[in-house]
Amino acid sequence: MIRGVRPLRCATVLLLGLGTQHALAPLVGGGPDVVDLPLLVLLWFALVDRPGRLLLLAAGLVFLRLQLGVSSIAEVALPILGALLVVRLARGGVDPRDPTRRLVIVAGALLTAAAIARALWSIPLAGSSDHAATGVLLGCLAAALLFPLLDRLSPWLRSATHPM
Amino acid sequence: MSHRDAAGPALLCWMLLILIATAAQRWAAPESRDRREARGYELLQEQFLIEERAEREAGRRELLDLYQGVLDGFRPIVTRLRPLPDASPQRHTALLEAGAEEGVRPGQGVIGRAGVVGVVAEVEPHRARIILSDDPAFRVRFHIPGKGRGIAAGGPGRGEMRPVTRLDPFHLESGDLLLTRGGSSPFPRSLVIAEVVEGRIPVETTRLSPPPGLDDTQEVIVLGVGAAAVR
Repeated sequence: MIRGVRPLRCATVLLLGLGTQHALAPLVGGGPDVVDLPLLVLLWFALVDRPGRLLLLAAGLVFLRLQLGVSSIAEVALPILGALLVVRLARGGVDPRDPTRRLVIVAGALLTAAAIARALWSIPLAGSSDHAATGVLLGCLAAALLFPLLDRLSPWLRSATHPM
Repeated sequence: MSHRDAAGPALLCWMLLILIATAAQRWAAPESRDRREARGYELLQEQFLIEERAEREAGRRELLDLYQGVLDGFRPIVTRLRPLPDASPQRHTALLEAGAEEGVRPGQGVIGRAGVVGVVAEVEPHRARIILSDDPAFRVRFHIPGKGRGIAAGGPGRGEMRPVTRLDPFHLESGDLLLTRGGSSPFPRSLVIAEVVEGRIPVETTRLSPPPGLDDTQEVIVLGVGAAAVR
């Protein structure tokens, strides 16, 4: 067990994200550019939290999606890993705790995830750039609404910003 | 007889009366109102179930009649499709109420009243999961009568399809219908796949629209391959 990870509490937050995604599915539609709320929860953890907790949650999300879906491991894991890598790299140059600037990092991560998903399914950007742009804009909007809520949960999660 | 002596028989008589009255309830008491009401609901429920079964059976017969003569070489398995969201929001899947025990296998085509619905992806003993024709992983060979052939795919968005490639030089125009090509594909020839919404150049950017309501609860045919179907 990784010290201070609080897997149950983190898993609760992730499951809330999955539940919200399920509830909003008829509104947000589908496809490689869709607003992926559980991924946004992971990105929030990636912005400020410990690598151990992040890896545990990412593994949990990949496992759930493999078990409850038809996707292959590459189709599930690669977009998530790409997005997380972008966040961990970008937070060295942009303040990940600034409410506005962190959205820039999120936009980059979402673009990366969508680009990887498109490459896996051979969907060219030409002709569907409006989908990609709308997806990133809606993703940033969702992050702007979701992240303040997650910030309030930080003490309960005993996250890196609120260490034990 | 003193009062004390009379108490014993009196108590016995009283108990006997209670026993007789209890036994008589079974024969004499009319059916309670609650029981009668419950029976009424049971009859209503039974009637609705009979109607539901008859309606479903009629739907299945109509569907088979619709495709009669077209499904040569395929063993049709009529079943019900129900919506089932995938854990990955990028995917578009649905559930079939038939599985391996009924002869459903991965890769088999699924068709509904409006044409192509999807392809079987995963099979369990009594249910199966299909990817719908607007899922990004869906691929199908098509032809447009009088024009040419190509390959179409699902996505990029929900309720959308796109041509991946053309095998003949032709231009897709709005209103063109993409039909299945048959051959070794999981679908017989000339089933509707999608309609061209907006023809564009390059052709890969053309927008196609599959029949609406792909994941609505509906009766569908799984195109099983039986012994007689080997070609």
